[in-house]
Amino acid sequence: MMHKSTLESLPNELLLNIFSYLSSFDLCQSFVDVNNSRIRNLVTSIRHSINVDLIRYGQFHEWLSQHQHLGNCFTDLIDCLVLNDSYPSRLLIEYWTKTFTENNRVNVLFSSLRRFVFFNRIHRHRELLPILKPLVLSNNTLQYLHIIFEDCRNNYSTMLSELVAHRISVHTMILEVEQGILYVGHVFRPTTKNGLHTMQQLCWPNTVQLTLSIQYSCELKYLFEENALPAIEYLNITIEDWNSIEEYNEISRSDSNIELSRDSLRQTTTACTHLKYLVIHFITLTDFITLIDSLTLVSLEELTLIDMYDTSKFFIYLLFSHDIVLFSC
Amino acid sequence: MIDLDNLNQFQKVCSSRRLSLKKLHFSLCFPEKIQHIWKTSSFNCNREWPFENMNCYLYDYDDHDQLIREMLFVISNCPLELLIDNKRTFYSYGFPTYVSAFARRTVRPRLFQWTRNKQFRRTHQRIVNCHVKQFYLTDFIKQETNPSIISTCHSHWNLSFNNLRSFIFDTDSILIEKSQRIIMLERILDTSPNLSSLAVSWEDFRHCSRQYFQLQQVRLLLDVSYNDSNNFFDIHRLNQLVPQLYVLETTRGIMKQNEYLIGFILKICEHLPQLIHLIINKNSALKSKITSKRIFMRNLTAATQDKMFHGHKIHLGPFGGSEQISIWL
Repeated sequence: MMHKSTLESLPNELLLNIFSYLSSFDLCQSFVDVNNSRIRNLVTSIRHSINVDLIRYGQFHEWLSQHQHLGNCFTDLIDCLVLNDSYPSRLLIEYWTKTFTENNRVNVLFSSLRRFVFFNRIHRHRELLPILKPLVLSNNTLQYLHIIFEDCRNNYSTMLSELVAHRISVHTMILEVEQGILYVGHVFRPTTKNGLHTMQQLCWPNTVQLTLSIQYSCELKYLFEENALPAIEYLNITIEDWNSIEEYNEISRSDSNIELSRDSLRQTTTACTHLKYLVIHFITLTDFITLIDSLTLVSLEELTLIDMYDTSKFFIYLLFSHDIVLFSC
Repeated sequence: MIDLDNLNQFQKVCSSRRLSLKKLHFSLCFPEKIQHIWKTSSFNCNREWPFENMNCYLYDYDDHDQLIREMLFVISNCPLELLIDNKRTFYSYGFPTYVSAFARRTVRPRLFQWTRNKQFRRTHQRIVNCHVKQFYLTDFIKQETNPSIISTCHSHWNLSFNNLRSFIFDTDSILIEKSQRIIMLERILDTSPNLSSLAVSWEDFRHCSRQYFQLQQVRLLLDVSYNDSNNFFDIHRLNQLVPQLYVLETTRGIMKQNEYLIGFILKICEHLPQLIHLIINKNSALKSKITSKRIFMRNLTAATQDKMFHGHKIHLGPFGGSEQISIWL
């Protein structure tokens, strides 16, 4: 007699192998309601991620309507959410925003969300903030916030300014600037208006790992102020500084706030008790010496200085205007 | 006046007891002329550096237009893999000399760009194990044409780009023979099991011999503007090459908004049933009259409603007047 195999009779290993061919969306839609606790447990034990851009138009609307009418569905299982500047992502943000109310700030749509990755290629901070503000509250689960910017123009500083103003702080924060000035196409004339010194006082108490870009080296002091980053252990800073040294000097003369001086550092900064890993890109030798002389870095174990440069104008031009390097043998 | 005074201070700071570092890595850029001063100074041989592996070399910088050709003198104690992990972009023909196997993962997406074929084979060999997420191959043959070097690639390409997710193959079709271009493209596609996104000229891609099940997103770089729908590209052939295509974009060559295009769009939707997003004329700069766009949109909507019964959403351009057409299926 032939033995009849059913899906339910397959071992976990085989089921997991089958699951690996399906997207989280398809997998959950197909299996989460199956009347078999072993399969259901298997599906819920996997860490799920969702890319809204790979969901069909019809399925997307069906899913949101299902959530609206039946409440929790597979989105409860989502661990990582990736959003782009696409139309589906925009629709999802609109829907998600509406799920937060004045009285209920709990993330009911993605109740297990721990990682949120957002490709912010166009100006979108107004849309993103209504989601981020409740997401970082203590009763929500977000641990990892990664926002990717195409370049370090206004879009970046506006978002940074908002994150600082609303004290949006989670365990790991990565504010990544993808491209140096070469891809931007032309040299910008940013003013000193966009730096950390013009923003509200930095206070990200929950942030343990941070990657960010700043405009000028003087902004470093705001990162080491008391209560700015009290839990920080890993700090990765890129000093973008688009200006040539001459422009920098002009700004420095007109605005004493943007100089990195021993006095200002010693007055305002506090001992970094937890900082273990420090990475700095594009700092001048002089600024680095000033910084290390003035700070008390008691726990620092690893220091990495990438493309440090002497104060010669030529380098600043070359490094900042191209951010691209050719090696020669 | 360029001197090494700052370097002296840097050495002192690094050696001071205020810092009790377990690891210090740095790369320090100087003008080329500092090389002579460095060689005659005591810095390169004194024993006051609190670390080993001091190294110095020249970065050869030359920009696209050959307006600047300069050398940078770099003093570093970084292993090159650490430098690569921390840089946004490499633009290199000589860099493989320094590259070894990679051990670390980073948050920054990598963009590697080659300009010349001189080191192509070695570069390919060296980067197979690193965490390159995006590989941009363009104009690498501009300076010198040497087909024998490309031929020698073949026997060395039994390696795998396991981490590569995105590949842009945009080479100069005049300066490199078609057969050679196709061999290179095929080799990279064959050796990248996790590649999901490809940007490529249709003229090259259509000659590839295998099926690429790993690809989900394809951007076709079309040659010129067409009026005739028969010449855009062969949908049947594309479906054979990429059986699991979810996102299809066309760019560069503009498909004019007329009745041929409507027919072509319907044909794509019919022959590629798995497609989720179709974006025609992505990022086009060409602008047509608003009235003719309205007529086109009306005709396209009517045609798609007749032929596509499941839900879908059509957008014209991100901005008014742009030739971009986006369809979410």
